[in-house]
Amino acid sequence: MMRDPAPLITQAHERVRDFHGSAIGKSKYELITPALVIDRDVLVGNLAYMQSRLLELHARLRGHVKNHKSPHVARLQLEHGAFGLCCATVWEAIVMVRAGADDILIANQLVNPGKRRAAALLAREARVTVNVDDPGDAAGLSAAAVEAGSTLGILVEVDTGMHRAGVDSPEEALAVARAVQQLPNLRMDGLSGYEGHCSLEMDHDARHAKQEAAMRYFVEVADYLEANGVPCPILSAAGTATAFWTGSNPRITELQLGSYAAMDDYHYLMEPRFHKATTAVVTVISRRKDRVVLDLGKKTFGSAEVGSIAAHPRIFGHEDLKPYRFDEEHATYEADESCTLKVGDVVDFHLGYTPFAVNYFDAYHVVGDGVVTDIWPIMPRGPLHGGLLPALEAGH
Amino acid sequence: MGLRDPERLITDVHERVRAQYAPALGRASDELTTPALLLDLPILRANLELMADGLRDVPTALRAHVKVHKSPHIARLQIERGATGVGCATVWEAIVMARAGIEDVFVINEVVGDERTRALALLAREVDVKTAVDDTVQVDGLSRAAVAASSTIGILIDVDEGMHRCGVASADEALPLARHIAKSPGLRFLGLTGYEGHCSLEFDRDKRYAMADEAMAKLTGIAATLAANGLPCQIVSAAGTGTWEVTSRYPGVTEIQPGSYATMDGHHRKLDPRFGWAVTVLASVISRRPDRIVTDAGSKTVGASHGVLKGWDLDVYRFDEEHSIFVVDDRTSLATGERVEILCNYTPFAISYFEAYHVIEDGVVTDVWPVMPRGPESRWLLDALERGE
Repeated sequence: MMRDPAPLITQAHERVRDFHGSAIGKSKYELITPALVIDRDVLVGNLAYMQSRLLELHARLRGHVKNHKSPHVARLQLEHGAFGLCCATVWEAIVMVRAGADDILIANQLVNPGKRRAAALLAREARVTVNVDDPGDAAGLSAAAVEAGSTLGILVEVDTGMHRAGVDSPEEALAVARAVQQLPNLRMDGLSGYEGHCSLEMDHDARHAKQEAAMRYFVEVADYLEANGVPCPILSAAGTATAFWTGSNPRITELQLGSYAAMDDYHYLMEPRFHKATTAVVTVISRRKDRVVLDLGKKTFGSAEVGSIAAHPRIFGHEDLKPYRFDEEHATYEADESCTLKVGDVVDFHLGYTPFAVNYFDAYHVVGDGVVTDIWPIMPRGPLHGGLLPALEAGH
Repeated sequence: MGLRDPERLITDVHERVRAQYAPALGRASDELTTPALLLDLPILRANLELMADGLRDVPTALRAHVKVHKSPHIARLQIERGATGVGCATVWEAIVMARAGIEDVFVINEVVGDERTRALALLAREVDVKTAVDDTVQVDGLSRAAVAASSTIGILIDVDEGMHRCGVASADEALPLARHIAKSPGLRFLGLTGYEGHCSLEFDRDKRYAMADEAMAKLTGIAATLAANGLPCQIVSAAGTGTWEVTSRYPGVTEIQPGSYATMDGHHRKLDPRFGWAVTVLASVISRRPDRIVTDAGSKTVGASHGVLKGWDLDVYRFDEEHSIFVVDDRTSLATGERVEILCNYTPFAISYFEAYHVIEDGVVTDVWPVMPRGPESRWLLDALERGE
């Protein structure tokens, strides 16, 4: 179910429309560059395709938002088959509840006291579920929920091969789950086991083999808990590169993919059934005999390190140009005299891996047929809470 | 050039971030909500002092580059400690710095596009504005904008001294461009700018200084050719934190444009360890496994896939977007919930993601300073400028 967006969202939308609104109605090539562009038709096409595939999948869709950080995209996900949302941070969760979502998984450990308090306060308004892998963290969440008078859902995170957070064995999962069961104001809901290591494997068959091994282990952990009297009604996993395989596993109850919506060059290499909706528009600011220089660099598109697997940032129509170097504010490509690019040219740009760029901009320019139709805020921006915690404590 | 009081554009944002992070004021840094960007103010001040000392015996001016820190507050401290003006990478940074009270701003970059040139020309009605060019296309755009705004923009020709980014490659290219600038209305030809950024990738000091000398020979040689042709260079600007000392002593260089010396990072401390580490990222350990720890500051926070935990000798296992993972064994006592400080190899990426610094003195948060401007596109700053705000 979806509520109307709260003032936190509508005011931010008004603010970015105020900041960038003079661009509405213009061609994207008339924007001040670099500008972040999202093609609404491509976006909705991806969402509709995923929705159509859900009919054949056993698992439900929980749309992840960390890669787009957009309340508007999140609402479209909910309108296209997602029953709830998934976040990487509690600040994203606050924004998405204010955007109208009523069921949020923070697929991450909170630990920090300010973050636990924020989740517990938010759980008074929406169904909030959090990952844990440590009994001490569970006790901290319980104390925060007791103080707030709320209940937090808990998924025990299982390391299915990614080697980040997550318990390492069925025995450890059982110990954490039993600790959760005994703590007040926590609801032991099941397991979370994102197989993110599979998304670093570009080979289709090797990726599938890793995915199968990860989910086999994940289900074994669930079986062990249930055999020991701890029910696991929720088993949550998957990313865009493994969604259809993991979603076909009859034991997995929900999928937590996000890149499928706005996509990028990196994920397109693994899942070409979704198309790239997020790009940038940039300007050539210097043309030398043997190179061209653009007005965006690593401060804009990120480190480009993930995208080094043939999904590095590139110029539309000039994809063959070899990067010479990426600096903070400049991207320089080797270009001989046969390249027609000249100073002042405004061109489309492949961002490679979009979450870094999204994290840096304050808004998307929404386009249809190359014309700007709206400005959507990116929320929350950056690593800080931006006042979301004090606002939550003040009750708005 | 002096320092005026900061205007509303700056003070309003300062008040907003102070209000948003008010619970942090007066707290010890290990009580903060993480991740947080920490600025150790005494270390910053010592860095500014060290640079002032290093330039005491030379006539070379200091133009403090602000793209690293993006802080109106730090820029003002730089001016108070002897910088004659600031260097910026974008026109949006220039607008912010002018609103911070700084009267000499140099956008050390090629400015292309109607709205950006208009922003620069409007700003030149209020303060001394300079920018760099390497092509007549940029010159003509700036000239049109300056005429329309009835202002004058100072122009320096960008010289490629070996970095191979923007910049003219030779005196043969510089001379006709300088003549074109000199006869363009609304523009004033001031001289040359040339950042020897390729030297900052060489960690051997002697080799680096030899490379810098070679770059300066090229830059001052082009300046001499222009002077011999009736186009004297009032300003010859160069250098970064890796070459400030040698370049500031090169005859004919009139100003240096370093920025990292103020806040520093791992890369620049390898180049010049006399400057102290003033900016770090505070994180929490959110998961402790037998062989690794996971913190809540990943590549979306530090802007890179590497970093060092202050006080711990740990290898990086992996950086994900929202997590950094370090290799540990039983001897590492770090537990879930503990705070750690991440030393970034290169801080500009981290800073550009944050909206504010937590300013630390003696381990306690004493202020919250905004990062401005945030993000690459800042139409609102142009609109504010056009409204006269």
